[in-house]
Amino acid sequence: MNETLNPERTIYNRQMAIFIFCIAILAKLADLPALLTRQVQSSAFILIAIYCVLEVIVFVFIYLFAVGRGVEYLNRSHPAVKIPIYAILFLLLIFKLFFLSTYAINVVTDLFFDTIDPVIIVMTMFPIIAFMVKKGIQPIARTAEFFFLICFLMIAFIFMFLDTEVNFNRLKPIFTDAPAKILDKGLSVGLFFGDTTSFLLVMLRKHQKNYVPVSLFFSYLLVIAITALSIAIFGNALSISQNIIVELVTYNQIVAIIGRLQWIGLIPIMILITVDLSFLFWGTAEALTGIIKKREIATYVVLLTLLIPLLAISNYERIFEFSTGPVGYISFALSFLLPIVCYIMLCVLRRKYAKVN
Amino acid sequence: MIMSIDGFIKQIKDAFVNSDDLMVRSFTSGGLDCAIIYIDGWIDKEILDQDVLKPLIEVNVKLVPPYLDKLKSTLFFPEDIMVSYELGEVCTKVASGDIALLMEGAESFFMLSLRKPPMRAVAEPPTESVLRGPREGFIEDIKTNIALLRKRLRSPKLVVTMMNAGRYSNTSIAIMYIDGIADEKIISAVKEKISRIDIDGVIDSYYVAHRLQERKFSIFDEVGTSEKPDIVASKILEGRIAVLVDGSPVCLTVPMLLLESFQDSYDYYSSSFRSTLVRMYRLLGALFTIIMPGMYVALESFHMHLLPLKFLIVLFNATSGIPFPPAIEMLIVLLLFEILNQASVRMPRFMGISLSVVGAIVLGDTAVKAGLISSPAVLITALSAIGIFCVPDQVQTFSILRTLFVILGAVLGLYGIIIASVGLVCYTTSINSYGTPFLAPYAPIVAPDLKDGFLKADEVDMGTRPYSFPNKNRRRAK
Repeated sequence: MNETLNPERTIYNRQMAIFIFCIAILAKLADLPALLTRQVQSSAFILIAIYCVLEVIVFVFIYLFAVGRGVEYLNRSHPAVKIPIYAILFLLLIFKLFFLSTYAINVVTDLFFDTIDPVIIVMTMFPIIAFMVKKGIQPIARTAEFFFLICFLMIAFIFMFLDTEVNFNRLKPIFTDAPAKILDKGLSVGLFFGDTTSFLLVMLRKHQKNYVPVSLFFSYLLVIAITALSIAIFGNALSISQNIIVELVTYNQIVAIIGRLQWIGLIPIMILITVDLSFLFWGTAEALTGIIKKREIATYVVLLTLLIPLLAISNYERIFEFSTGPVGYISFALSFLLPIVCYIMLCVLRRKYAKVN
Repeated sequence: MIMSIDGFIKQIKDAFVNSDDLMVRSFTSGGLDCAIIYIDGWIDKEILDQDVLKPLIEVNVKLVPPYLDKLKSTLFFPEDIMVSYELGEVCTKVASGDIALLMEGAESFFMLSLRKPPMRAVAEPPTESVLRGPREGFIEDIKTNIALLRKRLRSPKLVVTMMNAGRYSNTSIAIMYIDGIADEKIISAVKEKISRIDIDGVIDSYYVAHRLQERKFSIFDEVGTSEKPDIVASKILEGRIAVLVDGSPVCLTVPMLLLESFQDSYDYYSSSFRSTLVRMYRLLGALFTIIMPGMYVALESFHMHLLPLKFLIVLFNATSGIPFPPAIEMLIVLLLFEILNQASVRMPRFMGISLSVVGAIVLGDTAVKAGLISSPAVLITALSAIGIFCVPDQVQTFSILRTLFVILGAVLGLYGIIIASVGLVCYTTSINSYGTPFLAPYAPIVAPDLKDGFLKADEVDMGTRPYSFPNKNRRRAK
């Protein structure tokens, strides 16, 4: 196998650790707690905790695949193996990308700027994302690195001046439905699962300390903690919120001094959305490149595939309804199984090449 | 080729289109007809008379070929005599300030270098004055500038490579670096870029700077500049490559990091605590400059409800009755400031004080009192105008960004400001200057270099050269 790392898809383990933080915070704290609260009330907390544990398990396979330069082996494998894997990956990621994009537009227009037309959001946000994707994974990773501390400090700031009453009794699960039905509801929101699937396409450069396990542990722990805090504060009323961070930030202890902190909540959310969408977009374009071989064309195809429906959609609520249908279950299954399949394939291909050499 | 003096003089005069400052002095030496040709005003006439003409005229034995040996034994500076066989080369050298010596019957031209171009004395550069530290600055003469750097880096490892560029200006360009520290790939890339310069004239180092930039239409200056030899010497010691251009007091350095714009030589001549604080002020100044006017417009136009009540009341009182919307008002104040700034740069210095009085008191105060513009808008613009000079290397860039942020704030509100900030960071992270990420050591995070970032460690703790850009030897202190 070629010993040099392809710079176009190589990131440092430090950058991967930061990506994990950004992705976990946005994907799990976006609309998921509200959606689950709407469906299973306070059992949402347990479901999110299960989701996070599953996410960590799946990530172990993804990490092993990335460290083992799985994507290089995949590219060298027989077309009958690589094309279906790339095709499945592309479909999964483009659905997730489309879904996250609609969420991003919705959160910006509904929560902050109801006077701005969604078309303007699309037309201003996506050129930046497309620019980053065109430049490759490194600028996206560097942007994430640059903003990491800012986002972290802002989230810490939000919680430092939290002004609300907390009732942890609300965390007790009330099993209004049978556990099987609760799990069923949980599986339906599969597009919120598999945040780290795009890492299947990166190659990891080990550099100094490995922060990935630390980041993985603390990011998902933070997600669980914030979810627990939100349910303890809002209870079932959480079902009407669209973003936990914004809900938590709106009223604070220092409102009289520096005003409402909505915009402090908006800044990390917008940053995380840009980083997350760029990374997902890059992954989708790379998956398509694995099939059609031309990266630039793949980037434009993904951009158009995304923009046309985004510009045509008039009601974003329907997208959420659609996402919790069969697409949600399929997405969950694929996000769970694909990394495992990829890792098994890597082991098989490694043995094969070892024998050849 | 056997020299016929008159014929060659005619050819050289024709090449110079009978230019009036082309001087030809004929004389006899050892029984031979000789002539010297030079450009008036470029050479040291005293040395010419004393050390060249006088010894040559006083030769009383008949000269026979080869003449070079005789010249070397006659003149006081034998190592400076060069031989040239091409008339075109002779003309180029004469145009560059050399003296051509023609001798009847010789097979070649002899070139002497007695250049004494008009130049000013070494002084403190007006754009980089310091409270503490060396006050010498580069001047317009490349040899003096090289000497100023050699004075600080007295090592045989300091390499100077001379190149020329400009079809008509034939400007000398010096590439300077330390062998064994600077990265070979970057040296080659710089040399290649300079060798590809094919323009009429290189009048200033900025002509070279634009061609050294990796990205053609970058809003940031991606090549470092300094007028101070101490700064350039320290950059060379870090492994950077310096480019000096004859006729310019501004030295270029590559690779460049954005962080360099926030650093100053003063930081290294004062305590680390003070330096850290000062760098933070500069960062705040830059943020004020770029974001504040746009943020003010966005808040006043769209998001007044986000402001604290007391602040809102003050702002409302100050802005009520202003006939313009906030964005137009801010753009007018910024435009006024830019006009005053341009006028003050170009007008004679003795009128500068009058302009400050007119600009600040008469225009600003009267406009506020007349109710045409609000005092918060003037305050914000003043803060932004002062803040921009905290980072003098990026004044032009920040000025453009400031206007962009105002427009986006006016059209899209806070969303515009945030999306512009995110876009700006994305754009900046994509810039590479000779294999160096422009936002290093922050994006990507280069941990060892953070000690000379916005937080500055003590000089004693900086035992390694920067990891942010390629260099061959990381350790600089035991």
